[in-house]
Amino acid sequence: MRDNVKGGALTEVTFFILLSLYEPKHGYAIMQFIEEMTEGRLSLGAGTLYGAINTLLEKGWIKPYGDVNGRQKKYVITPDGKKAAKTELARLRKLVDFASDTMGERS
Amino acid sequence: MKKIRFYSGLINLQIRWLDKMSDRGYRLVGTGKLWYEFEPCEPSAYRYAIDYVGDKSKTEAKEYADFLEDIGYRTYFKNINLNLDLGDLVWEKLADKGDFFADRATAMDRALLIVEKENDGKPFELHTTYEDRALFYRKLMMPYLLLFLLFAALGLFTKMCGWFAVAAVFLFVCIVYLIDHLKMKKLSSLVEG
Repeated sequence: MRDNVKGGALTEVTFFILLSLYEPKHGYAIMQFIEEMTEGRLSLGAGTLYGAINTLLEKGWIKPYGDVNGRQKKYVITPDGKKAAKTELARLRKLVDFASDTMGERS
Repeated sequence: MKKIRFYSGLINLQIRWLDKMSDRGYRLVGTGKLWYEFEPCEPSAYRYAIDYVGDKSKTEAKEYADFLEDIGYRTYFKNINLNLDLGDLVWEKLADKGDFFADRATAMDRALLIVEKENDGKPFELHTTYEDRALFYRKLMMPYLLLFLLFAALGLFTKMCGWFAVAAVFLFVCIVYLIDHLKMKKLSSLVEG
């Protein structure tokens, strides 16, 4: 996952995984969450999800939740992860404001 | 039912074959070095995908397989079967030469992870971003690149054309995956998301 390379924007996949983990979830539930939230537009493969989860664990943006040794490992967002999500939200807000102004569609 | 089947590594063919077996009413229930075992099932009940885990340690590969099983898939490790058995032989020979090669030989023995899921009518993809797919093909290319270099070197050393022919086969597979890799890489920079 190539986040924070240019201008600190998160990839859509990263942002959705962070959002999904405000409530603890296991892998399959994350995939379902993303598919539901995007009405099937974004369908995440398990291999891609696995890579993304490991990257986020390394960054410390998410952490294992509950019984770590049990089957069905769950994950949850960390304070650092929430900070990254907040920054992304602010960036998107600015972008939407700017786009609305430019396109004359401000409500 | 056991089926003996060699695959020269082009995993798309392997996936197509497994899907076809499922369409005919046979589900994969086991793998060995040279065979695949099937049991009768409802026709088209399952779909297959194959991932490359030759770059992962045994523990890492097991962790990944567990993750996929948690999601509800079934997984089977399979050797990459470099065909001609020559490739395998070389790996085994090299395994005696030191830890680095021994690790590689073990890795090649379980380099592929066959993943099965219940057929829900949607295509079964493990890697869904272009960036991720580009990485997948690059990793898949590596064992073939190494084998090509080995056999090319062997050819130069012994001045026997036979080795070059073998090297050419590996080079061919290498190029197929390189093209896939470059295609995905280009797409990942052109298409967003």
